[in-house]
Amino acid sequence: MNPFSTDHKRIGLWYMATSLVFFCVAGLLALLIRAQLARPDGTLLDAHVYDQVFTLHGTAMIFFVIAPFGLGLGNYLVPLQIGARDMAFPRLNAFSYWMFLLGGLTVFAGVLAAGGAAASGWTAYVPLSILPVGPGAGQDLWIAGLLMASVSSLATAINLLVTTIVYRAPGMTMWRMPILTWEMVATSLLILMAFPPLMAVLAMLWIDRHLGGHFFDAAAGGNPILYQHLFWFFGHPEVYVMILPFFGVITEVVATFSRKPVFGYVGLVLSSFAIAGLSMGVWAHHMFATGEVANAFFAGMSFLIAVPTGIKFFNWVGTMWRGSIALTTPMLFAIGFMLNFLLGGITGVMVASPPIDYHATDSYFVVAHFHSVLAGGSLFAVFAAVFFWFPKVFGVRTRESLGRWCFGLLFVGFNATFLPMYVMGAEGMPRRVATYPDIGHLALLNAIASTGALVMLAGVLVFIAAIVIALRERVPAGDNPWGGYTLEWATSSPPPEYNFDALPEIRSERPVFDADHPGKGTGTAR
Amino acid sequence: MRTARDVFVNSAIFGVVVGVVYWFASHHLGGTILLTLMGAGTAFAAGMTYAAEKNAQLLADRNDARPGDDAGTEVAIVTASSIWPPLAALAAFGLICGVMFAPIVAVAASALLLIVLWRLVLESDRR
Amino acid sequence: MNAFVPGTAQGGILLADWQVFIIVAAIVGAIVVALIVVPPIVWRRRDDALPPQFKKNTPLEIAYTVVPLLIVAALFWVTLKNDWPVEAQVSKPYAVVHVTAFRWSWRFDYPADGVSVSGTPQSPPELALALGEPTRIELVSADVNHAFWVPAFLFKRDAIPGFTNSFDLTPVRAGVYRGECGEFCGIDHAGMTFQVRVLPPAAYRAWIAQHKKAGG
Repeated sequence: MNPFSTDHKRIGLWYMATSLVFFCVAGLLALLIRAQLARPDGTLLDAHVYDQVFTLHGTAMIFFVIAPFGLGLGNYLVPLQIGARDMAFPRLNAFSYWMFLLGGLTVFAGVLAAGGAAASGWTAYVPLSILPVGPGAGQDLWIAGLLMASVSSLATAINLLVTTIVYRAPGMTMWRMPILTWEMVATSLLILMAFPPLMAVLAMLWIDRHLGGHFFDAAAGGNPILYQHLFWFFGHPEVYVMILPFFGVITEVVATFSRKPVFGYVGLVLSSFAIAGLSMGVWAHHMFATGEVANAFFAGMSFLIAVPTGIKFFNWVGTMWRGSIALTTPMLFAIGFMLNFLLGGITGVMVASPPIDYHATDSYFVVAHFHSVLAGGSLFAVFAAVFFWFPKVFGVRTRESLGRWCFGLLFVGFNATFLPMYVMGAEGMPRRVATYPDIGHLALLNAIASTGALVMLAGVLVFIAAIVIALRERVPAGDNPWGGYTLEWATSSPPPEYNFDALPEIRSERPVFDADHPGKGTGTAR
Repeated sequence: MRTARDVFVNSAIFGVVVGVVYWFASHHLGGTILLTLMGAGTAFAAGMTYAAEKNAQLLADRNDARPGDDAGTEVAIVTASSIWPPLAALAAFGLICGVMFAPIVAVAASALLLIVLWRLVLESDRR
Repeated sequence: MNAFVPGTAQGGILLADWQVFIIVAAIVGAIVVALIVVPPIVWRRRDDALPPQFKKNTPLEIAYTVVPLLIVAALFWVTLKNDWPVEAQVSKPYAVVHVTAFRWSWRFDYPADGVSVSGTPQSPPELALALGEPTRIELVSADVNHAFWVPAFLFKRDAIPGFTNSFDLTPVRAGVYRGECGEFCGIDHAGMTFQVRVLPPAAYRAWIAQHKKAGG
């Protein structure tokens, strides 16, 4: 293991492995939350500890698990999928990884600070995050860590964009790129537009905290709502950064295991950019209850974003339609993704309506909504991606039986944990509360949710076992165990350091399929 | 590179159009500035891509190009291993934490960053 | 949801919004779930034959772009239709209450009557509203962001320092309703509860008089 490597495959693997370690940590934090909330008036954690726990859980899952896993996957796959030797800037790539790792460690170092880690939620609204009311050095370490994560993400976005524009293989026109690569392009564009405002608002927060600034101080002529505008101008595109790569994963998996070409390729590409663009214009739907934003504008834009997302769903259905579908582990996770994300998307359209959001925002209803899309969606796609590309990356296969158990436990566990939360929120349980009273059905619903979390834990343990066993059993996978279509399946498993000995001719978005099935190819989409 | 340019152009158009609509819907200066700056930024990228595209004859953009067609041409200089990226990350880490917690560390980190950037440039120069 | 009757007129309109969306969600959801779940069952892989390799159907793709667009346009219209009356405020409210949110409870001031009620997490304060009459709430924060949330009214509004949020509540059912803080505000966020007591106007006036006598 060469820590000075600049090979995109090494770096991609480090990214994904590190993000999975952060996942385990953030997952343990989630189990602490569910332990505290398993019963009404819980006393397992005191409120100050609880506040740090949910702050770190959210911050870690967003900045150090889901987004970096997607970027790491892009790191590994994009050069392979476009037939390139490496990323455009291999050393910048390595720098990105180390910044990500240091950023995550810095945020968690807050636990050691006097007064503890950041404890004002992953959104760190002012005035709560400003002294003397708010947390001390822990909040500053949070700011520092997120600045580092921002630098990391921006560097990767630049790298991915330049690589995709300049380093495609002969004949690999952009309209022949795999959908996953297109999604990484859209993701990179979003990162470029969204992260600078985050860096600005973090700097402004720090200035208000320590340099006598009054950006957000109403008493001195500042505006606390400005913080929310700047934060969410970043925050909403960030959630699309966390889903677009995974739309790409699902597309690749569904097409491969349906033995069909991607249906509606052009629609999938255009919808990604529609989603990316629209996502820059919906930010204040997180602020409907403030009474200070143009609710109608943001409601309209938020409804619009459902349309390109729906197009993707119909394209996936079209891909499966009249196919020959194998329910392998990646395909099971893809189907689970579609079902879970469907619920998340539908409830997203609900909370896009301010009259609904007045009740749902800051309640467990919206907690359920975003976990449906991020955990039921992105996280399921993480597992789909691991099981799908594991043979390529490591050259060995996982056991399908373990993969199925992993899926079953996670699907049941996820739904048992989060479906009750829709009802909890409707019944009036606020989010970010350390305890709740025994009223309505809250006790029963929370007990079910906490039990579901334990089932998810079992699923994760099976996952770890599946990986460990696969690496020990070393059953060779071969170049293309799944019958994949895109260029990463044209080289050995694992690929050589220089990626390809030889490239097949590229005449469609399925060059490996075309090479394996001469005469059955279907040409370029556009 | 036409497609890449189109991506940036459409993003720029979107940013400016939505920015204008947002102004009339809200009269909120902050959001309007954010949206129109987004449009301006992507317009800049579109312009750069357009200018670069004029000189670029990418085999990648040719429908009929074959894998061996650019055999023998130099595509890129690819470093396989370098100590400077992790050191750059350490320097950036030191700079951020130093500015926030211990200015002397920021000074040291800036010095390290300058050295690292200089060495990175040297490493790229293979002539 | 069947047994639930919102406590305010505004809540009734909000409930109507929920109901429309839930119905549309259920129908769309059922259709899409079927579309997702049926293909893997019907077209389960049985042999090695390559299935028909079609990859587009432009009329269909246009259809499933336009139809969802029409659906969300309709939902947007429903949303606007429901949002306006909820946000609307009468020119002469029956009562005006200044609500101050602070860490970690509430103060309710009735300036016209010289009544002030303040609470603690251990002893939550009570807000009295007159049944059938619009009360104007003027909501402020004394420190960090909070939110005034009465789940039975299906409504919350943020209390943000430097801003006054103003809205009307017109109760339609007498009773006592639970109120909560709906914006994370620190350690005792969960303890920042209050009660809303909806009384017929005569009983409301008696409540006011009693609290005035007790020194507000």
